[in-house]
Amino acid sequence: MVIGLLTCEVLENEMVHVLSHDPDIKKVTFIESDPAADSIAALHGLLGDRVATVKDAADFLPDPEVSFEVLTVILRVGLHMDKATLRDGVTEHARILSEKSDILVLGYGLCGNVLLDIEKQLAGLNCPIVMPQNQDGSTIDDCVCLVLGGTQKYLDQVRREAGTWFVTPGWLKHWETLLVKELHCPDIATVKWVFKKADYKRVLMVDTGIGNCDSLRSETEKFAAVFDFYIEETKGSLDILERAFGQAKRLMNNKERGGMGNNVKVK
Amino acid sequence: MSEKLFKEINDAVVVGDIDEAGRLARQGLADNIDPMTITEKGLIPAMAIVSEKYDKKEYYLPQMLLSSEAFYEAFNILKAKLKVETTGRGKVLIGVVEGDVHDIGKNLVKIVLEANGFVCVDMGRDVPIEDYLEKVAEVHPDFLMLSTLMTPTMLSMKRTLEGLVEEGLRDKVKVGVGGGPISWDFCKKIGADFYGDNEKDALKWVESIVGKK
Repeated sequence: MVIGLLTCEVLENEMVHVLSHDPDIKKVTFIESDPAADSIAALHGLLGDRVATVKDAADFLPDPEVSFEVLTVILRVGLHMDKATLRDGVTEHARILSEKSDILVLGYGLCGNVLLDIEKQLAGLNCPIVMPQNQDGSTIDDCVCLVLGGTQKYLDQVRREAGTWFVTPGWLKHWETLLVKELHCPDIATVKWVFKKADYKRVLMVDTGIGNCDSLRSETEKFAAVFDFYIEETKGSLDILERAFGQAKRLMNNKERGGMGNNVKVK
Repeated sequence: MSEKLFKEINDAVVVGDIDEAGRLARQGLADNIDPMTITEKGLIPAMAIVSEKYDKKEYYLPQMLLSSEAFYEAFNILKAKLKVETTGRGKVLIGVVEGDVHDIGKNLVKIVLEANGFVCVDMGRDVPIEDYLEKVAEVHPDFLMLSTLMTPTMLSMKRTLEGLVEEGLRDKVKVGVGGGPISWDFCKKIGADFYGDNEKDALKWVESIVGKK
């Protein structure tokens, strides 16, 4: 059975970890793109020939030898800076993936409510959709809430310090793109000025336990030094992502046993 | 001479030249030009241009911030000389909800409302719910306008409305909500009176309640 995964490049490290540690997922195929390049390389290093690539979704054929496999599209960071770009990008690629998948996992949240009605946008897809959820079943707000372990954890942090910038490995990798290019700032000095105007003071390093913590800390310190932020750390979590994949697998197992129709949309 | 000053101050705000905007405001006052006229003919049209440039994606956040700063540099100089009654055309309590620091949208609404004769009590950013409730009870605004950019902090808007009901204040104030993730659906769901996509809509709404100039 094929799980289609559509996700943002900012979550590449988290996705690589979840995909490589899930004992049920036997193969991962990527539709090639620039944003997917590092994930492909990272997963090849972990899973070897269980990772494949295709140039186009049309070239993908399910592997009859495996029980669960994942067909992945990774979209570039920063789409959320323009509502229509994010909505159209997710809609278009979800439709493409759904043609080759039994279920779709969206590695996105509400993303500023741009994707609030994504289910309506994707009405008529061939397959159900699973979105990352809080414990109460509500869709996760965004990538920051996702890696923190839920919306309440985000609120706890901004109540401590409202002017908080959250960083993960993926975020630190792309910060210049996100802050300079996407905010249309001519230079980093302007970004610093914008941060000051908005009263940002703290960078919170979110450690989900993946990758090298010392390296994450070092990159966080460099980032903090650029913007004169003070640094704090918090433990993050991949529970929400793992739950989303778990839910997708359970639903596909039910479907195999005839317990679920094709038109079920799962939040 | 006045027309030249109006054009120059307009240009200064549009390009975000804070110092020049301040200088021209002081010059206008020194030349005995009515500060309200400078505001209406120089500053307000400038922000309309800035807003249009943002909609057309010619301006982005940094330019909006600069132009807002230039506007306030000039407006604060002129405001000191404006003859405005304590309540102006109406009193607006405005702020960003708890947990959120993004205030450019709120500031643009405040700019337009103040420039059009409304008195704005600015609560700032990251404002706890209880502070809004206390202030509503204290200053009796005609309007409470709440803003947020983030979906998690939308809950604060809902709780503020609930707080107004619990405190017996709800029928004493009209509540408007705005910000990137906000919608009319959300506005109705939490029992607010108005949702605005931009500062022009906010002005139209408050004027529809108090009457146009």
